[in-house]
Amino acid sequence: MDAEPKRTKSSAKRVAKSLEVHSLIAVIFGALIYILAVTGTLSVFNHDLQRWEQPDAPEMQSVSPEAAEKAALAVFSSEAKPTTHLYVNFPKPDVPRTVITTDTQAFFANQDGTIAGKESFPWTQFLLDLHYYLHMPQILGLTVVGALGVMLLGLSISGLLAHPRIFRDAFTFRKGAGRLTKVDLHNRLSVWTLPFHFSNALTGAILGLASILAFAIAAAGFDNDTEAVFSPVFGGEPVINEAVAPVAAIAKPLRYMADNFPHLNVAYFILHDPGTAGQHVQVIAEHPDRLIFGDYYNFDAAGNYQGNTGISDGTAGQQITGAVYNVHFGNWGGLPVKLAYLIFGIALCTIIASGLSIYFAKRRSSGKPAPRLEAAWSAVIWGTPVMLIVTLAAALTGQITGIGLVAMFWIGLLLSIATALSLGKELVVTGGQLSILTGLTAVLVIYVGRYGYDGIKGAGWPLVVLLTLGSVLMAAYLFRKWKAKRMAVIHS
Amino acid sequence: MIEMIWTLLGVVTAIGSVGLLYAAWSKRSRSRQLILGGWFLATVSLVSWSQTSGVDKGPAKAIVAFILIVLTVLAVLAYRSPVKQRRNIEREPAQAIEVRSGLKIWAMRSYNFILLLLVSGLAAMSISTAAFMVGRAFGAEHTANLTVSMFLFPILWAIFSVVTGYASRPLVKSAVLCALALVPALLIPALQ
Repeated sequence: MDAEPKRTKSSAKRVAKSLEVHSLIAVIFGALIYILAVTGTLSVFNHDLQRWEQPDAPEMQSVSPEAAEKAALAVFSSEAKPTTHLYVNFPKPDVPRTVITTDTQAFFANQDGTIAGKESFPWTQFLLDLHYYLHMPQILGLTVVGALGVMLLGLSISGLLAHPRIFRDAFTFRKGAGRLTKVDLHNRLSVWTLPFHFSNALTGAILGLASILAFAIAAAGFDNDTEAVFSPVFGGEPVINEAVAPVAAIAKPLRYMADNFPHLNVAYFILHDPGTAGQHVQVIAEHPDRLIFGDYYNFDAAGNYQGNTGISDGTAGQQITGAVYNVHFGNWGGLPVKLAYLIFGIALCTIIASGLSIYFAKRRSSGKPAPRLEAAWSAVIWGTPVMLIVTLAAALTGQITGIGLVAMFWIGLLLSIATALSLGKELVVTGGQLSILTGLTAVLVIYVGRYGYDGIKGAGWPLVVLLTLGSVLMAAYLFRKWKAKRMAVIHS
Repeated sequence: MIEMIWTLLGVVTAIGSVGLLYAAWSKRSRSRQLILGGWFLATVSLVSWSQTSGVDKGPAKAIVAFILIVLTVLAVLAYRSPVKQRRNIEREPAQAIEVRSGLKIWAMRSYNFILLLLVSGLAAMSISTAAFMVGRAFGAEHTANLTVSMFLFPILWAIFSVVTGYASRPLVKSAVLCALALVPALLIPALQ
């Protein structure tokens, strides 16, 4: 009999402590994790966004090896300073375009191999840099983002420990019950989308922290040679030989891939150190039935096949490592999986937003309100999508790119927080919602003004439809909110 | 055609699984048959989806499909659940409690932050690196060894962060974390 009360007491203590840890991690890191969740959800569609930003680029389902070679050589010969890498990006279902990329520039190619124009997607690049690095210098940014992935893992672990009724409440949802509704929303979404947000946090942390772990392992066991750490997985770089040589064969390896691996989708052609005696060729081909990003198929300068690296059929370690990127970004199952990741990503954003909302509500009811912190948090929740829309509109004008967009986003977000601290939560929430509606409308007007009917009917139409739908839904929501408030005022 | 049949079977059994688990949850008394039936169908769904694609992609599709079906059920339940009349208890607004502040409190919070983020991370990196070196010393294959370390590092860091926040005695947790960071690091030269 004595054992029961003791067990209940220690269990309640464990739950209380776990909740304390859960709140602590959320309060400290929640804002940055939220920004990563929003940008990550959008990044799933980065290929579609690239297409939308340049709707008039030439599109094709495939390009011949000879045309690809012609385009690649044209770009290579136009380089003022010799490039160390020459890439051909082949058409894919979500971005049916051929792009030739060097260290410093990128060009679209027509289906006949002629060059069509420069590739430029400043806002999508800004979005990806925000998600990968939080706009910090690369290794530092990757490490910080990786650490935030770890904190999201910590939130999942502490959240599970703080949820003793996980089975009893499996399908509970109390509607119209204020804070209880938010608690149910937070808990149900957290538990049932756990496979997604746990695996995404873990893969994100692995991707972000791989560099510093490689430094540590290299220092411990490989005389600080970080290449020796990863080369058994991804293949090593061959010896550099800078003596001048004719550019390696491009069409021949591609023809070999088409003849010998017709079931694979050639995604990239990479020529390392082109025009030198040490040059070598890799073709990345996707395996449609696997989670891996693809495998490297290696060729010498004459175009003779040397074998694959083993991401698809090598060691278990190679195959698991090869799957990490695709599992994180959701580009392993076409549009259905991307849409699923969109739903799961929105769920994660909702979990984060509702979690801290519950925290502040609890503080208010226990006599420890934090109105300024709560207002600042609301500014992050609404300010992040607002500033993403504002930067999108700015990028679409063609006048602001690169560092301008970065400055605009962070200064805008800080100003939102400063405004919230002085004006309070309610104004920020309403202002944020109105700004989203205005911003979405402005984006549509600028886009149609710039690209006209060609932008809507071509590659741009899916996102134009989505933006229009978003604007209509936000307008309807704001109207309903205003009507409810008006009715409340009349009745009182 | 075969793939479509397996996909359909995967979807149907996933729906059946969620249905049975919901039925088990709805019953007042615990029903072992419904629970076992639900998880059995979930397993059948996983096996069916595995036939539609490669060894890794098939199960991934199964998990995605299962979560989507559950979210759909939750959305329907949320829409259909009635708004219950709740007791309208007149509550006095809670007395604002003076929150402790001051240099000592902020110093403690900053110290906990450093432990939670940085020292936990160092401890996790130290152990993951040492684990790699131990694996190498025992002849473990390089890529498997590296993969284990790559997964171990963030998971350990997350666990240490949670435990750091959980534990209340600052001296004890500081000592433990520092030991976890230093001891493996000191062992590494012996493993080279």
